[in-house]
Amino acid sequence: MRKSLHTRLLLAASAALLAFLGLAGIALDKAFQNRTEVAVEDRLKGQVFNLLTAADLDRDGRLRMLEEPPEPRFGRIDSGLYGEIVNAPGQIVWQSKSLLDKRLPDAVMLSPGQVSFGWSQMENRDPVFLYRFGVGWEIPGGDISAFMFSVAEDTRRYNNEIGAFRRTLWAWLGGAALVLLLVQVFVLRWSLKPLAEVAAEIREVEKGEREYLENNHPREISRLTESVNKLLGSERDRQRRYRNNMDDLAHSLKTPIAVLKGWLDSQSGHDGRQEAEQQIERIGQSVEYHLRRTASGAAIFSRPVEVGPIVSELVSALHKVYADRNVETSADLPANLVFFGDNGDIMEILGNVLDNAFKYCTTSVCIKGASVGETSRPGLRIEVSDDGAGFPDSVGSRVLNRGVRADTRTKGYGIGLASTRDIVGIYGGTLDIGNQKPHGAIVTITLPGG
Amino acid sequence: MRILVVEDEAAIRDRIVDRLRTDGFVVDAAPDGKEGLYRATEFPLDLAIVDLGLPRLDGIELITRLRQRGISFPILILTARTRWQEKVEGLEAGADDYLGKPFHLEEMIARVRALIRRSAGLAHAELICDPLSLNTSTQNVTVSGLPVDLTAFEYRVLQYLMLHTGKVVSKTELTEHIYEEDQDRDSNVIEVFIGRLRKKIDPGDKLKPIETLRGRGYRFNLPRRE
Repeated sequence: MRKSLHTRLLLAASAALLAFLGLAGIALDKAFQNRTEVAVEDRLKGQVFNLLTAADLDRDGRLRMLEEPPEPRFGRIDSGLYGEIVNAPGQIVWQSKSLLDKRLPDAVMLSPGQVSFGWSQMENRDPVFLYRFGVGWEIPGGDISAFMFSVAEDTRRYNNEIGAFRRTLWAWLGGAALVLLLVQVFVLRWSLKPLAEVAAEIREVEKGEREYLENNHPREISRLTESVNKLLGSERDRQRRYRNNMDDLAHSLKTPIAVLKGWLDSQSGHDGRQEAEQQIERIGQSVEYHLRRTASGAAIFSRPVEVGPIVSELVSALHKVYADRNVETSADLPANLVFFGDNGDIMEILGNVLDNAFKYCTTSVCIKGASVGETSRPGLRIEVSDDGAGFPDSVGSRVLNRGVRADTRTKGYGIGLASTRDIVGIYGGTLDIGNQKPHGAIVTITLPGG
Repeated sequence: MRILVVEDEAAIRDRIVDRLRTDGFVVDAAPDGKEGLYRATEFPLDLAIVDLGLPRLDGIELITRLRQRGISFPILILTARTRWQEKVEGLEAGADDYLGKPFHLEEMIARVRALIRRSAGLAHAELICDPLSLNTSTQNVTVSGLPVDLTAFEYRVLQYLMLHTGKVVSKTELTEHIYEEDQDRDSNVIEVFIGRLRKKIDPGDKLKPIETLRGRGYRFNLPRRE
């Protein structure tokens, strides 16, 4: 099954949000890292200037650290801050006590005023930030002697600052992501609420709980709902017009046939009367058959028709018609048994089948019904049985063929079950006939759900 | 037996009327629902045949109004709209049977006779008041198994009396049920028919089936076999 709009939007927006927050986090992390490195460089540069302040030439003209550097970490072993001064030949002029017996990594002598800053790996130690500064010191005699001041700081402080920043950053970004996701879910639900409402209204129309969709939806979908309403309205109009046209057609065709039939009845002994009667009879049968089988069919979103009351109406009417037969009827129909289709069609189907049962039963007619399927628009199965002679073996399924009837002794058109089967067929259902033991006919109608 | 036919299609109405008269019924005819309502409420009828698609007053409405006025004679619906929805609507309005157009006049006559029998509480076409027997289908009358030759009016009088055995039937009631509206009505003729009937069905004057109740009418005294 394809994902819902809500899921699609939620997934897409969540992915975009996470990507944005992730990239923003990385960018911020990088920026902070750079800023921290600049801060380290400034700090080390300050330390170099401190060393420059503390150093001076002695009486012999050699560069000496005349006083202890102001930064106490230089005097503490493995403090993480190291200082070193080398002269132009690369000889160490001064080393901080924190270096103990180590040396800062060798490097090319920098010319006066030249600066270098970067990562460097000390022997048997963690990486350090190393700041070097080339100095030209005027010695007695006017010459310039080159020195290189180097200050290194291990990465502990740097790592601590970065780590603290990252924890804060990602905690806030994670929190923001969570809040934004929740806001997003709410916004999506709120934005898609009209669609959910339309879907619910369509379900109600399907179930027959309402005739049309509401007209107060946002303009983006109001065109759609208006179109659906127009479609529903035109479908219902079409059905009504169709039914009226069929009624008018029935009247306009059958009345002249009845006139002709009456006239022929009065023409006893007239040549060709029998032939004319047969032809009129055929025309009458055709008209009757084609009019009866013109079911409306399963209309779009047909309202559910309760089957129980229809059976009651038909049984009551048939008791009246067959009053002198004293037919006993029993009906076992669930209260919620409904037919999704035209009211007139289910009445036509059940009327024809029940009429046959009343006509051919001995004393009793039994009606059973049940829903078929678990959908919101289930189908139904109805069995109508009687205790009469049943369908003759010679007739079998031929009774479903137009114009063939089981009991040729009774006058009529023999098209009831045939037209019923056609109407059932329009709904995609089936009509089966058979005999039951010890005697009696049974007609089973199965109609699929809407 | 007096029958009202309410049908707007003149050709069909005339055929039905002719056929009913041929079969010995007294027939009134109306071309629309309003006139049908008038005739059904003004004249004593034994049955009405009503087309559903009537001008001025729809057949269903006509039947509903008749039943609302307490008129209980059987009603046979004629309809070109043979869907069950219309049939049930007509039967629920108060009709007793339906006949779809086009129909055979024989079938219509059979339905009419069945409805009249049913309204009289009879299960069969034969009215038997021993030794008298009257078949409503064949219109044969026998006394002790021997056929009796009756005129149409004599048959109508006898059938009406036999359908109302033990009840007092006034001359007026009898006149209204055996004469059509536009026929000359002379209640003295009823006495003549009664006299002839007595001679034909009880030539020995032993059974005395028809009792004259002075100033009130007649009573058929032979019990009817159920």
